[in-house]
Amino acid sequence: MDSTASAESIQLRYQPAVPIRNGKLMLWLFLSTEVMFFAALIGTYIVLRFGAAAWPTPTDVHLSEPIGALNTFILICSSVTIVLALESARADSGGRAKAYLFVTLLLGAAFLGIKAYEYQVKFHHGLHVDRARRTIYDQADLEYASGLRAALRSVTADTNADAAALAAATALLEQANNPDADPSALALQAAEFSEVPEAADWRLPIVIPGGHMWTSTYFLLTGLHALHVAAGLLVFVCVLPLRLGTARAGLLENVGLYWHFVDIVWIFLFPLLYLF
Amino acid sequence: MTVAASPSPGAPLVDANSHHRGFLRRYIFSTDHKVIGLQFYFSTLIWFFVGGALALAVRWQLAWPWSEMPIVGRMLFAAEGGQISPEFYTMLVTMHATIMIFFVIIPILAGAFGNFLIPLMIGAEDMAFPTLNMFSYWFMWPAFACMTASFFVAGGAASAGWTSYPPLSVLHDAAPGSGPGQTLWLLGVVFIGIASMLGSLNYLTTIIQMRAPGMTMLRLPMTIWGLFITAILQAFALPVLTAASVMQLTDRLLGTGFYLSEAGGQPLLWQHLFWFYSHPAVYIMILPAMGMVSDIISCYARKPLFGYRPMVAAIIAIAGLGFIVWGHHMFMSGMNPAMGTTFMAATILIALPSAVKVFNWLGTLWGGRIEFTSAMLNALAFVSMFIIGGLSGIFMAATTVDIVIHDTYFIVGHLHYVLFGGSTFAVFAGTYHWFPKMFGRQMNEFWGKVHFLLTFLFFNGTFFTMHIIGMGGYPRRVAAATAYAEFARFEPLNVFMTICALGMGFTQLIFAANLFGSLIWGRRADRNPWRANTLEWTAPSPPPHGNFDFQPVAYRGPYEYSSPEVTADFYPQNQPPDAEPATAAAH
Amino acid sequence: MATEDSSGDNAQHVTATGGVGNYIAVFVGLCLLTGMSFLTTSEWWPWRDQPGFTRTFMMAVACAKALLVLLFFMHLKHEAGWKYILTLPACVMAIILAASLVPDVGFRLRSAADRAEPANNTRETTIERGQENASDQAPSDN
Repeated sequence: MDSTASAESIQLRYQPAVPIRNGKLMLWLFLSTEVMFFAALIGTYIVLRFGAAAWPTPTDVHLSEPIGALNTFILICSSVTIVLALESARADSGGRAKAYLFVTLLLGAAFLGIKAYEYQVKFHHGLHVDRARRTIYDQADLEYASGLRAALRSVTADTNADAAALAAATALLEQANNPDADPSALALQAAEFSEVPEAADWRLPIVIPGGHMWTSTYFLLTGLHALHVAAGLLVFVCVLPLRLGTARAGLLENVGLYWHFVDIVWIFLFPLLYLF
Repeated sequence: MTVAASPSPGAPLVDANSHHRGFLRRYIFSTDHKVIGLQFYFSTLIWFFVGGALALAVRWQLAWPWSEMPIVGRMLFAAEGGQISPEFYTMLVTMHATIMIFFVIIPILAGAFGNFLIPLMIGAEDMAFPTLNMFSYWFMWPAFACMTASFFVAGGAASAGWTSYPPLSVLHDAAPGSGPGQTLWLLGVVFIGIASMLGSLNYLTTIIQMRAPGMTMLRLPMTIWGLFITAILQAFALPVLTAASVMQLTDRLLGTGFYLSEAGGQPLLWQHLFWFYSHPAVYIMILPAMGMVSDIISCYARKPLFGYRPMVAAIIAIAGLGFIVWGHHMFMSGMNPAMGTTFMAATILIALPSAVKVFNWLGTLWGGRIEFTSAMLNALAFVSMFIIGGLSGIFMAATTVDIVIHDTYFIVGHLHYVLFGGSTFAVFAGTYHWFPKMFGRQMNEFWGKVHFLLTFLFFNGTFFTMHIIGMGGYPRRVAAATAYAEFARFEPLNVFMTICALGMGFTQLIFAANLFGSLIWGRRADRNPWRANTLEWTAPSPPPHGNFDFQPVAYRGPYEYSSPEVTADFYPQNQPPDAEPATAAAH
Repeated sequence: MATEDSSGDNAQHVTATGGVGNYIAVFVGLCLLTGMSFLTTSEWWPWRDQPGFTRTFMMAVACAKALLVLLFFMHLKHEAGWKYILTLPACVMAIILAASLVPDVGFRLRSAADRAEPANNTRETTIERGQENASDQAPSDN
């Protein structure tokens, strides 16, 4: 039993209702709570997304399906390696279990690394949730035009910029300063700058219908999933130094169950976020 | 007075923690379920008095609007000449509800009584995961710290109501308390969620796996059934609130827009997710109380619980239905009317299992030899107040009636009949009943009865009146509604309610004095002072670390009082069928 | 609860599993399924213009993958009856929760006017509500 009996008390006998270890039962119950946690998050995403008046396409928000598929593949591989670690521990070959667990740790870290790269791409294209540094506008309206003017003013104030690009920016600023300018036309012209290499770090405001809600849900879902991955990695780091023989097979099974659950969440997140 | 009838006076008292550990490990960072239970008990008791003080401030403002508060007014609101400001009033209402629900009722029932009673009643030496159990208590402290700190940040504590509806709670400039106070509130709720979740998983594992031999699921005391179903509710509903709170936190701190329609979100989303937890939370606050009251009534009526299996089925039915009725808090929110009708039908169905419970309690009392101890009086108050609270609940379950009484004091009266008249009376009953087991001493019966009588009278004076002014349309959460001409006529009733509330508040000092006094001067209790059947009464009082000095075995259900099979009027669960109760109880 | 097992010692309940070959087979299956859902974004996917069907297909694939992981990696295939008690309630509650959000949140931009004339009135309503862009850059169901 997992409980600690003190020296004075006798060892009590119990009548368990299910034929599994207490730790495993507890872990399955914990996974039930996690199911509800992600049900709330994924349910929120589904209703907000399909109820939205507009939603960006993957190209709008620089979402790469192959990278998502690669991350799915990595997590599947890590699920295999951790279940092999469990089999090795049950066969009492601790070295092999340790090796498999280490591979799982590496795969999990690779997943997080790729995730971080994806985040970096999003941030680079001005896709933040932060309203203070906001560059995404849901529609090309007067508010957008004023945001664009402010951004262009700071760009043109920078004398180190490329001369040709600077001239184009100044021209656009002049147009934007006209109170009668059509914000949609301005948005189209501003979008052209994203193709210009010299203007790569200008961060001009962009119009993405539904873009703010997309960033909200994307970063929330992937972020909380990544936190779960990170928690799993932390547990791996704690388990690795132990001797992973038959005695620790139960522990390894619990860790594995949690890791498979994290994998399952991603199995649903991948099509919902990348392919829909 | 029914105490000390057990034939063996005083098995030697064993120190509650006679295993060899330092003070810190023994009383502060203890993994013993009994110590953790008592830690929960005393922490929540402190918050009970804080929340009560906030309620009295609310009542003061309602009875005598904008008048200077005696003594504390000068200290708290020197800038306004000792008056409560309207913003401060909304903060008082918010924090009173938050503290009473999240820091008092839920932790005292699930945390204090749950921790203390579950292993003892099922015959286990401790919880399945003692260290995790310790963490479930210590995760309460960040929550305590957040809520306490929120009173002292700029703008004051959260003032968006305990329901924290957006956009009021999301936009930083919406109200003074929507600043850092609201952020701390949300953090506190997330920590409470983690603590409760750890606790509930532990309870479930313990009850499923660590029952004594013979203690089948249908021999469990009702208290354990109530706590078991409560733990299931917490495990399934709390993660949703945690997710919703995380989203509100990111809305506030990072700039996402889940609950803001200008960003493409939807304020109703919060209401759905919040009530998906908070309606089951209503049952989290009442089911353990129902279980405890069932045990107490059966013990002091000296009769078997009437209809044990229907009682179990009713608890399960209440919990099951409780998951699909959260929308009845949202009838006036602009919710889809088709859903409103569904929620109404499901809500009214809950009256059925609730009525099963009430009639089974009455059936238990019928023809019993009732011993009117303090515990029994409070349990009887629970039943009668729960009837009133349950009946007024049917009013607001009907969508059409709810349109009229929504956001009036009728709602406030109803919820206090269930939460104070129900859960809190059950907490009092449980305290009087299990105090001998917790501390090895008896509480003073005379002062217990005085406390009960005054609380009962003042309680009804305060909260029944709320139904009357509620039907008159008197709105809740408004600092001085009597300023409106049509509500001016309710001013005398408001004064009456406040006087009753003050009386009720000061009556609780009797309870505190009795509790702490009995710790020191109370009469020593032996193992089974109430001649009860359940397993915890076979352990020493207070039980040592590891609880039992013998292997507990359950031979029968927990309600064999006045059984014709034995000469004594009780038949403990662990007594072998051919032995006399004296030997089994005293061991 | 499912079974009342009166044996006191439950420390060693090692569930039988299918062995390494089984895991590799499941792994190949998972990779194939991932490839299938990835294929829906490619040019060769014949139902590109039917997002409803494509999405149903992808969710079916995801469910199949989750089921494979549950049955083989998490060994539920070999477990006793308790597996239903510990997994199904959470799944049912999750579906109830998500479904109950649809009328109020999923349909939040649908007004009575939309339901009266579902074909061409949607856009005007959204403009009135000032919610989203009226331009056609990104149709909502793409």
